[in-house]
Amino acid sequence: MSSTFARGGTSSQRPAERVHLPESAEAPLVSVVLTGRNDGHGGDFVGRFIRTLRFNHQHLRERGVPHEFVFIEWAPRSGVPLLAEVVLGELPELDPDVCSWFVVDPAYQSALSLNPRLEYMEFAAKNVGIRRARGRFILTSNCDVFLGREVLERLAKAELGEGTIYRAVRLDLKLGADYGDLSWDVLEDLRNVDGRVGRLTLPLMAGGAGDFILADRLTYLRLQGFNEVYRLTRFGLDANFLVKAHSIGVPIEDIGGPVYHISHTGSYRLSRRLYAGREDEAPYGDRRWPALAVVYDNPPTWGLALAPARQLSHRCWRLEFSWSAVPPMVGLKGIATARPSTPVAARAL
Amino acid sequence: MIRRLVHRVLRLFGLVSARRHERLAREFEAVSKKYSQAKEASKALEKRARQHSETLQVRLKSAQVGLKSANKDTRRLEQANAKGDRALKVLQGRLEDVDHLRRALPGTDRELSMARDHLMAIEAKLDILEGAANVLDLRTRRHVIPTSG
Repeated sequence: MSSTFARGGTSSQRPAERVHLPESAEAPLVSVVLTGRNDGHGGDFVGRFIRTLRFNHQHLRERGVPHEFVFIEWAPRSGVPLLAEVVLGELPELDPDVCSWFVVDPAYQSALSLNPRLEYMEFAAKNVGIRRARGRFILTSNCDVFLGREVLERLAKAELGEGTIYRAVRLDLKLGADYGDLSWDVLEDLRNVDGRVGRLTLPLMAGGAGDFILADRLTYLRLQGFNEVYRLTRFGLDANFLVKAHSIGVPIEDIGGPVYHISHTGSYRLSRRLYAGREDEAPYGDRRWPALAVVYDNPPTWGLALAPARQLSHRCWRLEFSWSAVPPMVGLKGIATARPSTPVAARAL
Repeated sequence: MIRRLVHRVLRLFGLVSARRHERLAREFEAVSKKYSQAKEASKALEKRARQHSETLQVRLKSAQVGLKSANKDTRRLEQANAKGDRALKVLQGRLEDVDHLRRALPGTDRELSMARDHLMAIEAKLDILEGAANVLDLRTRRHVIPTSG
């Protein structure tokens, strides 16, 4: 495997560890960082992923947006094919050269998690992708999200500033609808939207942020990705990232159009009522932590920077387990109060 | 002249002419009548004066009662005024306190916000410690070899 060491970037507090990255052609404009595994999450996970990946790749390509998908297959289940194999088999039109697949040893889930009920460390996985993304900009999103027309246009025109975080409002598409042959008419028909059409509000523009956070790579590195100190939940870590950005003065803007999320069973939005009164039992972690009031200082090895990579196939690597890649179990100095205090933090009390 | 002289002589003996007597009798009668009328008028006046006096006395008594009450009210008002002055002073003191508190409010609010934020940071740290303890506990239990008694 040919490789170079590059793109370590710097954090606001400490220099980040250098990350093992594949050598490749010119860096794309945008890296789309996604995570998932072949576990049938929310029903037909693979189907949702393939539909959104096909749609997003097609529209990015049509508009000439240089892009790559950085996919993190976090702690895959044994006994089932890797998602990478399934997806590449199902999407022959997907150019393998615009994809980077990283399969993360399941031992990292056990070693990192401070909550045995937490089933999937979504944001630790996204950090793996952020550390390994090559694009000038990085979009962290999910495997069931269609990019909206305005988002694609902004990317096509490269009308994006550095040092700014872009957010897009998320519209939930109705559960059970057939999104197989998707057109803009179907996607943009508000009758297909489940629930009310929300809006992003200052200062954080939080709310469904896990589905769309776009920023230049250096800003992501400066912010050290998502919180890896508070490893008890995946709820609110996206908003917590925005709190940190706000705290150090990174502007947060609405990109000007929505993204579309396919509703599915098991999503936080639909299942949170199931855990009312027993929030600590939720598989996504306890949602009652003060995500809007604290900031974090990740260890320099965030994003499993020191995890040894073994190539499985073309542009597909497995991150082998190594204790040297695992941050300390407890890093209390890595948690601090957010300054300035966000008004939303006060309301959350 | 002689006639005048005769009249004078007769008058000395208490005698007058019939005509004069008649005229005097008429005058006497008129005077008597006027006297009776004057007496009645006097009685009426006296009665009215008495009534008026009684009314005045009632009014006087009423006025005295009113005066007494007014004096009492005045005293009460004076007391209330004094009490009001005292209350005003207390109120002014309290207003100063409120003003002081109002001036201190932004600072207190900031301190409260900071304390709340610190509390939440501590809460997050405690969560981490608890989570780590739970994880270590689980790992330890998995590695403990049961000893047979």
